[in-house]
Amino acid sequence: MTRSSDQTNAGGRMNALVVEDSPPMRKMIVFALSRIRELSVTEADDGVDALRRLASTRFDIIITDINMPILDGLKLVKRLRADENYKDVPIIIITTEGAEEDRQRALALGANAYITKPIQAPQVIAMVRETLGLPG
Amino acid sequence: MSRDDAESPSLRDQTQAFLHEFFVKGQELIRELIEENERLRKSMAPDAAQSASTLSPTSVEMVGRLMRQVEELEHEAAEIRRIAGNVQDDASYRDRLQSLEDEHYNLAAMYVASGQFHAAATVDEVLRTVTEILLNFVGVAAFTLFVHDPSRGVLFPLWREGGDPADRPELPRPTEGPLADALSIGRPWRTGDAMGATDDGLMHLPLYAGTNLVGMIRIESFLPQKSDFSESDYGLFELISGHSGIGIENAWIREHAKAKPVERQAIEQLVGG
Repeated sequence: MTRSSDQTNAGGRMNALVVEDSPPMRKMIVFALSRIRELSVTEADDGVDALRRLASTRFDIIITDINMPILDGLKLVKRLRADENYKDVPIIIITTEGAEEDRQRALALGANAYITKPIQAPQVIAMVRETLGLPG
Repeated sequence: MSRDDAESPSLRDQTQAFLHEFFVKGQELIRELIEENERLRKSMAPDAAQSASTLSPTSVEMVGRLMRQVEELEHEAAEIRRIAGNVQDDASYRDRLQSLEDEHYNLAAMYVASGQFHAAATVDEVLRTVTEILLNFVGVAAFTLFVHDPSRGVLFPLWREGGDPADRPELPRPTEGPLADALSIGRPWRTGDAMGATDDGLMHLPLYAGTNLVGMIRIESFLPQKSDFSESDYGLFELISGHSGIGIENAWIREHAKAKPVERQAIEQLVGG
C-alpha cells in the first residue's frame, strides 16, 4: 500500500515503527531499514511501548515481533485493526514462528506480510519497499 | 549468478548470435543485389559478351556503397558488443554490491552482538544475549548451555532454550571423541575448528575465557525454516565462544568480589602492569 504524502514526516520521509523486545534483533532490523532512504525509523521495546508511540506519531508502516511480554505482536495487530486511524496501515510480522498456521493466523488478524527469523536484510528491505510501493 | 542465469544464454552470446545472423543475411542481400544488377545490365546491353567482361560503373558504385555500409554496420556491431560487455560488467557489479551488502549486514550483526556481550554484567544478561543471538540471528530452536566445573571435572547444564536444563545430565569432561576434540582447543572457537557434532547435538561450541574452558553450548535443533549452518553463523559462533566465556567468568568474579570503591592510586598501579 502506498501512503499519501501528507502522512510523511517533516523530512519528507515515511515513518516506520519497529516493535521488538530483543535489543540486538531490534538494532538489526533498524540497520536493515536504514538502507531505505525514504524511511524514518522509530523503535519500540514491546507492544505497550508501541501503543504509546502510535498515540503521538502517525506511522506509515509497522514492523513487529510476535513473542513479546504483556502485549504481544498478534494482540497489537488486533488492536490496530480495530483502530480507525490504523486499520489500513501496513503491518509486517517478523517472528521465529515459522509454521504455516502461525502465518495464516497473523494474516487473518490483519497483518500484511510475514517474515521468519533469522532475517536476511535484503528480504526485509524488499518486503518493506514492496509493501509501501517504493521503487526497488 | 543464479543457476537459471548460468543455464540461459548470456546477453553477450545473444548479441553475438544476432550479429552473426544479421551479417549472413546482409551478405545474401548483397549477393542478390549484385546478381540482380548483373541480370538487368545484361538484359539492357546489346553486346552481352563485351559487357560481361567488365562491371558497369553503376555496379561498381553499388558494391562500393554496400561495402561502406558493411563497414558501418561492423563498426556499429563493435559498439553493440562493447555495450553488451558493459551490461555484463554491470551484472557483475550488482553481484559484488549485493555481496558487500551481505558482508556489511553480517558485520553489523557481529557488532551488535559484541556490544550486547560487553554490556552484560550478570550471568542472566550473558545468557539472555546468547539466547537472542542464537535464536534471532542464527535460527537455533533449542540449545543447552553447560558450565565447566574444573574441581569436579564435569560440565553441568545451566540454561536450556526449548526445554528444562534439569532434563540434561551432567557430563564428565570428555577426554576422547568428537566432544573432546571440540572442547580441547585451548582457546575460543574459530571457523574451521571441530564442530563436535554428536547424536545429541548439531554442534558443541566451547566457551573460553582466554585459555580457560568456561563451558560449552550444545546446539540441538534449528527453527523449522532453517536447515543448515550458514557462513554468517560461523562468525557469530566465534564471537559467542570468546565473549560469552569471558562474560560468564566476569559476572562470576564480579558477584564474588568484595565491593571496593575505585581508588586512584590502586587503579593507577594496574595501568601498564
